[in-house]
Amino acid sequence: MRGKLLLLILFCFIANLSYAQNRTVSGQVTDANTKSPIAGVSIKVSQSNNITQTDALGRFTTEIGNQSKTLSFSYIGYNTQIVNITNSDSYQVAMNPSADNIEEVVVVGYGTQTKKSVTGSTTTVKMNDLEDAPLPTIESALQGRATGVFVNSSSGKLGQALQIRVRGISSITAGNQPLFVIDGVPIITRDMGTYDEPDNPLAAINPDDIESLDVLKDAAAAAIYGARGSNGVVLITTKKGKAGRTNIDLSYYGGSSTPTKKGNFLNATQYKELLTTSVTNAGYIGSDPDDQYPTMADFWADWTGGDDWDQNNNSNWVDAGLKKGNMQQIALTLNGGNDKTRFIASGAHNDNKGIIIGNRFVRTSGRLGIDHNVASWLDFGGNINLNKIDNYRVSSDNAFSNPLQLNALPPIHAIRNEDGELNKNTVYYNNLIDLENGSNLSNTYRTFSNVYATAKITPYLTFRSEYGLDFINLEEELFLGSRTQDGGDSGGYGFSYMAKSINYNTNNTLTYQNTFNEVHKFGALAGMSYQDGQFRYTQAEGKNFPSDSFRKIASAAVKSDASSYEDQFSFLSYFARVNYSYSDRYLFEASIRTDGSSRFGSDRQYGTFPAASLGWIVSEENFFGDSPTWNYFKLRASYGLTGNAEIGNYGWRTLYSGVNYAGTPGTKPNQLGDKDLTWENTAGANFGVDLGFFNDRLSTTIDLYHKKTTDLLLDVPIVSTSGFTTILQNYGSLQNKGIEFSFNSRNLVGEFRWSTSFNIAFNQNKILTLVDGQPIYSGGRYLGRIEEGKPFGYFYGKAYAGVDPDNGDALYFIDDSKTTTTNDYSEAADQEIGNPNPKFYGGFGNKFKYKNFDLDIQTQFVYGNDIYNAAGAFQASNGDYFDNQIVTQMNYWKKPGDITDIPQPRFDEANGIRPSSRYIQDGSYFRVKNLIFGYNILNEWLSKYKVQKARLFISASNLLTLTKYEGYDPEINTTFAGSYQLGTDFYTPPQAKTITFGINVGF
Amino acid sequence: MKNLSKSLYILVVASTYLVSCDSKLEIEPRQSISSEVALSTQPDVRNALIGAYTVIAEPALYGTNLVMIPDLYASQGYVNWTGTFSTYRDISNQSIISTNEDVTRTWTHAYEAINITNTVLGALDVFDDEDDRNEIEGRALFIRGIMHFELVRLYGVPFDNNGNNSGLGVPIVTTPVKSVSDIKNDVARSTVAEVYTAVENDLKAAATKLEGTPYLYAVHGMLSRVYLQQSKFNLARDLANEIIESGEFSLASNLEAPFRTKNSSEGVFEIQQTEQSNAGSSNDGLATFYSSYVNQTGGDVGRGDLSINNAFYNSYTSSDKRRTTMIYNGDGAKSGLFTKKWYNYFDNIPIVRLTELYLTRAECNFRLNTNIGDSPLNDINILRERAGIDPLTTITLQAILNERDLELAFEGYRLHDYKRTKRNIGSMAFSDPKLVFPIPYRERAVNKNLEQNTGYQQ
Repeated sequence: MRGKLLLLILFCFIANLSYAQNRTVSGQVTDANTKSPIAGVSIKVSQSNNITQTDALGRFTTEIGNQSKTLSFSYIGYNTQIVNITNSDSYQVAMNPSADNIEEVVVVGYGTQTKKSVTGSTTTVKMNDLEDAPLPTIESALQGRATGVFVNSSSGKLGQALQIRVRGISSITAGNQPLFVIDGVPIITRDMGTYDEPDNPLAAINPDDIESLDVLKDAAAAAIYGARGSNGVVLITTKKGKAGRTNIDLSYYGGSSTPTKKGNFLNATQYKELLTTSVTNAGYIGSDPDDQYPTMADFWADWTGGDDWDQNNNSNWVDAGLKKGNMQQIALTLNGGNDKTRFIASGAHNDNKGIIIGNRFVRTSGRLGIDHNVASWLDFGGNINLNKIDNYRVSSDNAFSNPLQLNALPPIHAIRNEDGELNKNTVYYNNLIDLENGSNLSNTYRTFSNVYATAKITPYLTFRSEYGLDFINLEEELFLGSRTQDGGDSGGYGFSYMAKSINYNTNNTLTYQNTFNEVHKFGALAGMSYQDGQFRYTQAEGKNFPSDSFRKIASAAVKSDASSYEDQFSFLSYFARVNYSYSDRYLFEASIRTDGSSRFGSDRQYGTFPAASLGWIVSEENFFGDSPTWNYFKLRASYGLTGNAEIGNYGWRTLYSGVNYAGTPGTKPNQLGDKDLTWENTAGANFGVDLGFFNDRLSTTIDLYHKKTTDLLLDVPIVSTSGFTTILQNYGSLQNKGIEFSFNSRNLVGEFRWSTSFNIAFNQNKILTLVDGQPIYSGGRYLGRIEEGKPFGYFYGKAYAGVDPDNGDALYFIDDSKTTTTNDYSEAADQEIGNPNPKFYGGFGNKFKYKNFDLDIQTQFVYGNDIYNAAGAFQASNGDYFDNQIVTQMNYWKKPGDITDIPQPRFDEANGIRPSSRYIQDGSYFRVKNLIFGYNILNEWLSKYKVQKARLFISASNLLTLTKYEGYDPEINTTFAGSYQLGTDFYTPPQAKTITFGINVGF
Repeated sequence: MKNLSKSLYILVVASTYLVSCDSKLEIEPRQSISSEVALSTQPDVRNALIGAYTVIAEPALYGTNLVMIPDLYASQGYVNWTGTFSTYRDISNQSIISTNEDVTRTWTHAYEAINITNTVLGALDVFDDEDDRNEIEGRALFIRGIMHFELVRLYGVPFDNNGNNSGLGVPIVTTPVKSVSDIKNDVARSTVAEVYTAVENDLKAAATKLEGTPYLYAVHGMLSRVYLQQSKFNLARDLANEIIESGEFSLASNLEAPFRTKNSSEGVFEIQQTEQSNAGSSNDGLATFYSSYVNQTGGDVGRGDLSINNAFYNSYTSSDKRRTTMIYNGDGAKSGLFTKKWYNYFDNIPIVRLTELYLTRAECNFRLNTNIGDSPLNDINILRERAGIDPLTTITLQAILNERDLELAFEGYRLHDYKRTKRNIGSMAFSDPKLVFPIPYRERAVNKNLEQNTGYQQ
C-alpha cells in the first residue's frame, strides 16, 4: 500500500511536470494616481523562478506555469501588490505609492531592520533622489538631507576633505569625523597626502554606485560599532544586482561651474588713492633723504622694487586666480541575473575642471558585484571596486602659491609683461608662474573589495562572514621650475611621494531570529571583528635641475631629501545584540561591544560599550483607536556608551626619533606618553517621537538628545619648562545637546504630485571640564579657543570699538563691559567675541511631478555661526600695507569728525588691523543646494528599439546663496590652522555653482 | 547530519579568525624608539646630546630667532622689517602681545633643549671612560647654560650692574622630565641674579670638563659674553684674551669668508647647517629673511623682509668694506639694502666669532684701564684695517662701542649691547618694559606661579 502511494505521488509529480504547460500572460502597470505607466517594476511569478520587469511603457510579458497562483508586483516607493492569476492572459495593474515607509528596510550595524522596529535614531539618504546631481563626492549627499548631520565643504578646492559632524563635535584632540562603513567594512578616511589640508579618500567612491547612506546617530544605533561610534556612523550601501532582465543604463552629463561669489577688490585708481593716503599719513613722503621719499613713485620703487606706479595698469587679480570650470561624466551600469545569481557592473569617468585656476579632479571607476545562492542554505557574494583619481591640487590656503592669494596683489601690477611672460616683479609672488613653470599632480588608486558568505544553519540561525580589503595608493609629484618662487632659489625643485594604506577587516556574526506564539519576536546577534590598518610612505626631493624640461628627480643635481615612514594599528572587537518585541508594540533592544585597540598600552587596550533602547508604538494599542487623522505614534528612548580612538597610533608611548645635525646622527624625544591612555567615552541619551497623520501622508520625527563625552583624548598643554608642550591624556569632558526635527509631507498625490521635506537640528556644544580649568588658546592670528563653560572653538580676542572720530585711531574696548575704549591694542582685554558653531542648520526640499516632468529643489541652511576672516589683517586693513584691499576700505577715516568703521590709513603702523572682532561676521547662509529638472521620454518608438527609459535633465548645484558674509563664500573653514579653528577664512576658495545637462538611457 | 557538518564547517572558519587575534593588538612603532631603549648605552646618550644641538639649531633658537630678534627688537634707525609676518612686525615695533608665536616658540624650544641636556646629564652613568663622560657632560652643561642665558636676556628684566638684580628672570630647570610624573607645573621665575649665577656655574663647570678639547673655546666665548653682559669686565677680558692668544683662530682677510666658509678661521662657535639640516628656506632661516637677490638660474633667493636702514648704512665710512662688500642692493623679492652675512640658506651660522673677542677685550681693557693681550687702540685698529678704513689714533669708549655696532651688525648683539650700555633704542630707554618679552601666554595658562612682566596684560 505504502509503495503504491509512493508510486502515485511520483506519478503525480511526473504528471505535474509534464502537464506544467506554460502559458504567456502580459499586461501593463500604471500608477494608481497619475495613471502613468511605471517602468522597471519587478514581477515575480509564484511557484516559479520567473522574474521579469516592466518596460518603459509599463508593459510586461511573462511565462506562468499551471501551479503558479499569483503575480507579485514590486517597485521602490510603491506598495507591493499581489495579483491572483486568473484565466485571463492580460493584467492591468494599478500600483499605489507607498506611504512613508514604516515597513521600509533600513540598514543598521551588522544587519537590517524595518523602520518600524528601529528604536535608535538613524537617518537615511536614498541616492536615487540624487542620481542626476553632479555630486563631487558621496558624503556631500548628506548636506541638507540628513537631519542632525552638519556638513561643511571647508573649501571649494576639488578633492579636499569635507567636515562632517553628527550631532556636534564630541572630541577636542581625537577625530570628529564619523566612521564610514561600506557594505559592512569600515574604510579608511584618514588623509594621506603631504598637504596641510587633508585630501579626501572618500572622493574615490563613485556616487553612482551607492544605493543609500544611513547615519547612525544615537548611542543605541551606533553602539554596535562601540568604540568607533561616538562621532556617529555612516553606513554606505552599494547597489546590488537585481534578478530579471539585464538592464543597461547609460548616462551622461556635462556642464560648467562658476564661483558662488567673488571678492570685491580695489581697482588701480582706488588702490593708488588709498596707498598714497596711507604712506603720506605715515610720514614717508617728504624731504628728509634718510627716511623720506620725494614722491610715491620713489617710495614704491624703493619698497617694492617696481617701476609700475605710473604705468596705468589695472589688473583684476581676483579673476586671474579663478576661471569658469567645466565638468562631464559618462557612466554605464549593467545589472541583472536570475534567482540564483545576480550581478551588477558599472564604470564611470568623471572629469571636473574646477573654478580655481589649475584645479582639476578626474575620477575613473569600475565596479563588479555578484551575489550567488550556492544552496538553499548558503549565499555567497562579493564586490570589487577599482578607482583612479587624478587630482591637480591647489596649494594650502596659507601658501603664497594659493591662487586666492593673488587677491593681495596690487592692481597696478601687470599680470603679464609686454613680452607675454608672467610678471615676476610683484609685491607678492605671482603664483600663476607655478602653473606655467611647474606641475602638481596627485594620483590616487583605491580598491575596495569584499567577499561574504551567509549560511542558514537552521531556519532561525544564520552565520555570516565578511572579509574586506581597502587599499589606497597615493602618488604626489610636484615640480617647480626655475621661475617659481619655491623652485627658483634652488634651480628647480622636484618632490615625489608614494604612500600606501592597506586596511583589512573581517566581521563574523551569528544571527538568530524567531517569533514565538506570533507575538514574541526575538532576535539576537553575536560576533567579532578584526581590523588591521597600515600606512607607509616613501618620499624624495631634488633640487638643481639642468633645465625646466627635466622634471624627474633623477635629473636633479642635488638629491636634497629623502624619507620613509610606517605606522600600523589594529582593532579587535566582540559584540552582541538582542532585540525583542511584543505584538509589534513594545520594542526592546540592547547591545554590548568590547573593543581592543593597539593605540593604547597593554593594560588599557580594552573598552566596553553597552547600550539599550525601548520603543512603544502607541498607535498599535487598542485605546488609540483608528483615527483617520492621526494614524501613527511611536515613542523611542535610548541610552548607551560609545567610544573614540581616532588618535595617532602610538600616543601612549614616550618616543625618541632620529635626527640629523649637519650629518651627525642623533636622537630627540618627540613625545611624552601616558601609559594610562585609553578610550574616550561618550554617554548618550536619546528620546524620540515618530508621528504619522492622514495615513502617513504627513509624517514627522522629533529627537531630543544629550551626549556627554568624558575622559577626552586631549592634547593637554603642559608647562614647556618640562621640555614638552603637550601630552596626550584622558582628561576633561564636554557635552552636546540638541533637538532634531524632520517633517515629510505628500501635499498632492494626484496627477500632479508634490511632496515636501524639511529638517532642522539645533545643537549646543559646551566644554565642561579641562585640566585645572586651563583654557587652550594659541592666540596670534587665530581666535579659536577651548574653555570651560564655552562652546568648542569660540572666538576670543580683542573687541573692536570702531574709529575715534577725532583722530582716526582704531579703538578697542578695555574690558567686556564695553564701556571704555583704548587705542592701545595691547591694553584691551581679550574677551568672547563670537561663536563659529551654528545655532541651527537643516534643509528644505520640494519635489514636483507632473506627467513626464519632475522637479526637485533641495535647499540647505546654516544659521547663527560667526566667521572670522583671518586674512582681514591683509585685505581689509585700511591700506596698511601693499596688499590690495576690499572696496569697503575706501570708506576710511579722512578728517576729524568722520564717523566710520575704517581707521585712518597709516602705512605699516597696524592701525586697527590686528586680530579682533573687526574681522568677525555673521556666517549664516541659505542655499539652493541642488535643483534637478527632468523629463522622461516615453513612447512607442523608443520602446521598439528596446529603450526602456530615456530621460533628459538639467541639474544645478549651489544655484543661489543668500548670506551677509562679505567674503567669498560662507561655507568655508580653513583647515591648515588646526582643529579648533572653526569658521576661519584665510584666502579660502569659494564653492562652485554648477549647472549640468544630462541624458540617461536605459536598455 | 547535514546540519552538524555545516555547523562544524562554520565553527572551523570562525575559530580560525578568533585564534591569536589578541596578540595583534601589540604593535611596536617602526618610526621611533621607546624611551626605555633610548638612553641605555653610551652611543644612545651621545645621540641624545646631538639631539640637543639639533634643537638649538632650530629657527626658534640660533637658526633664526636668537640671532635675528636682538636686532629686529632694536630696529629703530637700524633695520626695517617689511615682511608679512605679524609676529616679527610686532617685535620690530616693540608692540608685542603675550600670544606672539615667536615669543612662544623661542621659550618652548629653549626649555626643550634644556630638558634634553638634563636628560643627558642624568644618564652619564653609562660612561665608564672619564674622558668620554667629561666631554658629554661638558657639552650638555654648555647648552644648558647658554639657553638659560639667552632666555634671561630676552624674558628677564635687564641685568643692572649697579643693582642687586632681584628682578624676575626665568625659571631655572636642572632636572630631567622623562615621564609624566617628572613634570613640575609650579616652577617659578628665579631672579635675574640667580639665573646669571646658574649660567656661570654651568659654563664654568663645562669649561672644566672640556679642558683640552676643541669644545672649550665655544664655552669660553659664551662665558666671556655672559661676564660682559654683567659688566664683569676683568673676567670677560681674560677669557677673550685666552681665546685670541690660543692661536687656534685668526681673522679672515675676506670679510665674507666667516659667513660662507663652514668653520672658518674666525668661527669660535658655529651652528652647523647642511642641505638636509637647516633652519629653512621659505618661512624660516636667516637667509630667508635677510636676503633678496636673483641667483644664477634666475630664481629669487630670500624674502627680503629685513633690510638695512639708510641711516645705519650711512654710519659706515663710504670705503668701509663692511659696507662696500657686505651690504648690497637687493634685486630679488624686494629692493633696498641687505646684509651679506646671511646670504645662502645652508651656510653655517657663526654665533661667536673672533672679532667679538677683540671687541670685548678692547672694551674691557679700556674700562679697566689695562692692556691685557694688547691695547684697546690696537685691537680696534686690527678690525678697522681689515675693513679697509683708516686706523684710529686715539681711542674712546664711544669709538669702541661704535666699532662693535658696525662689526657685529645683524649678528644678534644690538638689543643686548644697548641694554648693557644703557643706550636708548629709538626713543625708548634701555629699561623700557616694552623691550622685555612677555612670558608666553600658553606658559602662564599652565603654570600659575609664573608672573608676567610689567606692561603685559595677560
